Amino acid sequence: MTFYKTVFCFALGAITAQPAVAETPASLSMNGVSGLIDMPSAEQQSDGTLSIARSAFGPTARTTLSFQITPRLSGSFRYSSIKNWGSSTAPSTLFDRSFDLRYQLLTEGRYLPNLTIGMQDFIGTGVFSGEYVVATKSLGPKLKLTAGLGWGRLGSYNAIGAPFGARSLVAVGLGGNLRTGEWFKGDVAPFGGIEYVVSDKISLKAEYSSDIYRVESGLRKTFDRKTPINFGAEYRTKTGAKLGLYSLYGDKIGFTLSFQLDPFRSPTGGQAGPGPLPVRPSSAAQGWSDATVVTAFDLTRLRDQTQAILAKDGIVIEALAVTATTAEIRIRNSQIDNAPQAIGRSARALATVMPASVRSFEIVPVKQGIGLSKVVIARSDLEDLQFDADQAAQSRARAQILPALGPMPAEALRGQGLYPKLNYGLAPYVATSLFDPNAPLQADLGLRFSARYDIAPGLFLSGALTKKLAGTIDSKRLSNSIARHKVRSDAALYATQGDPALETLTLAWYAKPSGSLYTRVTAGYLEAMYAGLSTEVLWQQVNKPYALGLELNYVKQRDFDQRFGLQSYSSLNGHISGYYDLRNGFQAQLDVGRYLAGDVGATLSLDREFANGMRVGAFVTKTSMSAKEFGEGSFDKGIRIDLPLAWFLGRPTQKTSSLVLRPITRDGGAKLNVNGRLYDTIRSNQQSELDGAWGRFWK
Amino acid sequence: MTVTRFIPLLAALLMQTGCSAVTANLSGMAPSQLQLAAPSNAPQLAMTLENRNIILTIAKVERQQDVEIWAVADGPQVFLREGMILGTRGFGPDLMSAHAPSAATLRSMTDHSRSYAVLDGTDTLQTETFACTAQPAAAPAPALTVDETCTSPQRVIRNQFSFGRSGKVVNSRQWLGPTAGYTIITEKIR
Repeated sequence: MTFYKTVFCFALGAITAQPAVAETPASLSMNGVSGLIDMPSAEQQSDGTLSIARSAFGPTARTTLSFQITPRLSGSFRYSSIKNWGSSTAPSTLFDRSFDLRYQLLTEGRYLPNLTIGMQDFIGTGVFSGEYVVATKSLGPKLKLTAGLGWGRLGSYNAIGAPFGARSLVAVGLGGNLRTGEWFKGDVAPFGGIEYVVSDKISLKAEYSSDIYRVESGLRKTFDRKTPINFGAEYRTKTGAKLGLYSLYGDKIGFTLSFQLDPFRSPTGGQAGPGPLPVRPSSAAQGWSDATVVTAFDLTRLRDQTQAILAKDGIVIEALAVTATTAEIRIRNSQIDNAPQAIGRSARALATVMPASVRSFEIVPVKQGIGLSKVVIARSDLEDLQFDADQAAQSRARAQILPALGPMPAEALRGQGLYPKLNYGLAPYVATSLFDPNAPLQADLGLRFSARYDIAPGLFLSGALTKKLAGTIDSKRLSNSIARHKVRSDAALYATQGDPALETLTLAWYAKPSGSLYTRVTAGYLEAMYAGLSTEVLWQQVNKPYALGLELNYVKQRDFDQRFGLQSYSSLNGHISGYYDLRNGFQAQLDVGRYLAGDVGATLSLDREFANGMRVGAFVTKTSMSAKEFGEGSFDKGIRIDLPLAWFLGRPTQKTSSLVLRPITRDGGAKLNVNGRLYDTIRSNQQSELDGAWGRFWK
Repeated sequence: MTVTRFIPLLAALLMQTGCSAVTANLSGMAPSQLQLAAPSNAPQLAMTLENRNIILTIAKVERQQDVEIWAVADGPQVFLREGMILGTRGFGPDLMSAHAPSAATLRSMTDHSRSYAVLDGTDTLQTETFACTAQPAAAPAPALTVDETCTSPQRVIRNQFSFGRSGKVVNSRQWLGPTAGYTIITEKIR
C-alpha cells in the first residue's frame, strides 16, 4: 500500500526543501520508526515530524506513517504484506495493519544515552507484536551505538530469559483490542547495532537482530533466515528523501525509501508575493478633511477604493460602515491561509483610504455570511508599530478581539454584486479506497464540477457533480459486513455506480442569533450516500478555548448511482459535541450521540495542530454495536491528516489536502459527512486561533 | 474499505506551475500595487540574495517616519533605516521585524544588541536576540568599514557596513535570518 497523496506531498516538500535549512534527521528503520535496519533505535524525530517509509525484502513489504506527537512520544501506523503466506499449493498474501507507540525516557546527554521504550503492533492481530527498551549513544558526530532488549517478536532469537513471566497468547479475535496481557512478557533477547555517518549524504549501518522470523522463515518458508546480521548503506538525496539498501538475514536484499516532513521547516521558507501596503500616516490619507459626516456618496467611494486594494489579496468586502471616528468592515477572505494576515491587510487598506478622523478600525471576518469575531485595531497603533521590533506581540496586546454581534448597522454599505451571485468551477479529483485485502490501494481519477449560488448572506445553494475518467475502484471487492444495515460498507458500490454522480446538492442556511451562538440548517443531497436534513447549533464565546455543539440529522440512504433516488433506509442521528483547545498545540473533541446505523456511543478525537493549519490526529469510536456485529477491527478508529497546500507552495491558498485513514471502514460508529460544520467554519477566527497565528498579522 | 475523497493534491499541482521556486515567484509575480510603484527616477540599490544566487534591483518607494521602503518591481519590499535592514516582505523567508543599531552606534563601534523576528514553518514568530560588537574591517577598505559580530545561543553572524562621506551606509552585507541567510546591498550607479 502506498499513501499516494501523502507520498506526493512529501516528495513535493522534499523536492522544494532548501538545503540551507536541512539538518540530518534521525534515520528510519524498515519498520518506519527511528531505527537501524530491522531493529529500532532510541532516537526520536524532530518534534512534529511526519514521516512515511516504504520498505521491502523478500516476501515482506511495509508502509509506515509515523508522527512525532510530542518531542518524546511518537506513534506509527503500518500496513504490511507478506507473500507466500498460505500453503505451497495455495499461496496467499497476508495483509496486516498495525500501530506502534514509542516514548523516550531519557534524552541523550554527555554520558547518558537516549533511552526509549516502545511497543510494536500493540493493538490488532499482533502479527508483528513486540516490545522493547533501547538505548542509543552518539560517539562523536559520526558514530551511533544502539543496544536494546526485546520481547515478543523482538525476543525470539537467542533469548536470555523471561523476567516477567510467560507470554500467554491472548485471543486475537476480531482484532482492535489492546493485548495488555502480553506486554513485556515471555522471552527477552538482546539486539543492537551501529550507524556510521560517512557524510551528510551517506551512512552505513550494521545490526544484530533478535527477530527469528519464526512464522515467515520457520513455518511458512517465505524466506530463509540464515544469520542475525543485517548490514547496508543509506543515501540521502539533496531533496531529503532517503534510500536504504541492505543485506537481510544472509538471504535477501532489502530496501527502504523514506520521506520526512518537519512542519517547522517549510520547503519554501515562507510565503512570497507582493508585500503589503505601507501604513501611511493618517494626515496623508487621500487628502480628506476631517469628515464628521460621511455621506452615501463618500461611503461608496471609500468602499470601492478599499475593495480595489483588498482584491489583490482575494479579500471581498461584505459590508462597510463608517462614522466620523470608526470604520467597521466585514471581510470575506478566500485566499490568504492565515486569518490575522487577512485582518492585517484589511487594516492597512483602511489606513490608506479612510479619512484622518477615523481612528478605530473594526474588522469582522465573515464566513458563510456570518460574522465570526470583531478585531478592533487603533489606527495609531498601526502607524506606531509597523517597523517596531516587537510589532507582533505589541499589536496583539493592543488589539481587542470581541464577539461579532448581529448584522451590520443599518447605514452600512454592502459589497457590490455579492447577492445573488453564482460561482462555479471545474477541477480534477482523486478518490481512493484503501486497505481492501485483495487490492489495498484503489483510486479513481475524475473531474468535479461544483457550483454555488449565494442568495443572501448565510443562505446559499450549492452542489457538485463528478465524472470518473479512470480508476481501479471495483464494486466486486465488497467487505462482508454483518451489521444490521450497511450504512458505510457499500462505499465501493457508490464509487462504481455513481458515474457520473451528483455528489451533493444542498440548500444551506447559516445564522448567528447572538454573539456566541451559531446555527446551520442544510437540506438536500448532503453527501454521496445520504440525503436529508442536517441541523446544528454551536455555542462558542470568542475568547474561550471551548465550545459546545448539538447536531441533529434525519437522512435517507441514497441510491448507489448517486442521482436523485433514495433507498428505504432512514436514520435519525446526531451528537452533542464538546470541543476543547488545550492551548499546547492539541485540540480535543468528544462527540456523544447516535450514529448512522442507530448505534449509540461516543467518539474521542485528539489532534496536534500547528498555526499554519497542519493537523495530525487520531480518533476512536465506541458504540453499542458489538465487536461481533462490527466485524474485523471491533470498533471504528483512525488517523486524520490535514496538509495545507500553502505550506508546500509558498503562496497563499486555502486549499488543504485532507486524508482520513481507517484501518478498516465498517458500519459501526459511522457519522454523516455533511459539509461546512459550524466549528470548522468559525474556529480559525476565534481568539485562541488568532493568537496562535498572529505572527503573520504584519506579513 | 475506506473511501476518502479530498481536494486532490495532484489536481492542485496540475493547476500550479513552478511549485515553489521562490526565484520563479520573484520574476513571475503580478505587477505590484499601483500604490507601491516607485517613481521612474527613484534611487536604486542592488540587492544580492546569497542563498539563492540572485541579484535584484530595489527602488526607493516611499519613506514612513525614519524608515525607507524599497521594493523590487514585482512586489517584495525591504525596510531600511539608515541603511540597516529592519524587515522584508514578500521574499518568502522574510525578516518580519528587527531591533537594529543606529548608524552612529556602529560608527562609534560600541557594543550593542540586535534582535531578529522570523516566522518558522508553522507560522509562529521566532525571535532571536544577539549581543554584538563592532570593529574596523579586517581588510583594508577605501571608506570607513565596520565589521559587526553578533552572537546568540544558536549562532554567530557577521554583518559588514561601509559608510560614505556623509556618514550614511553605502554598501553592506547583512543577515536576514536563518533561512534567508545573508544579503549584500550596494549602491547602483545610474
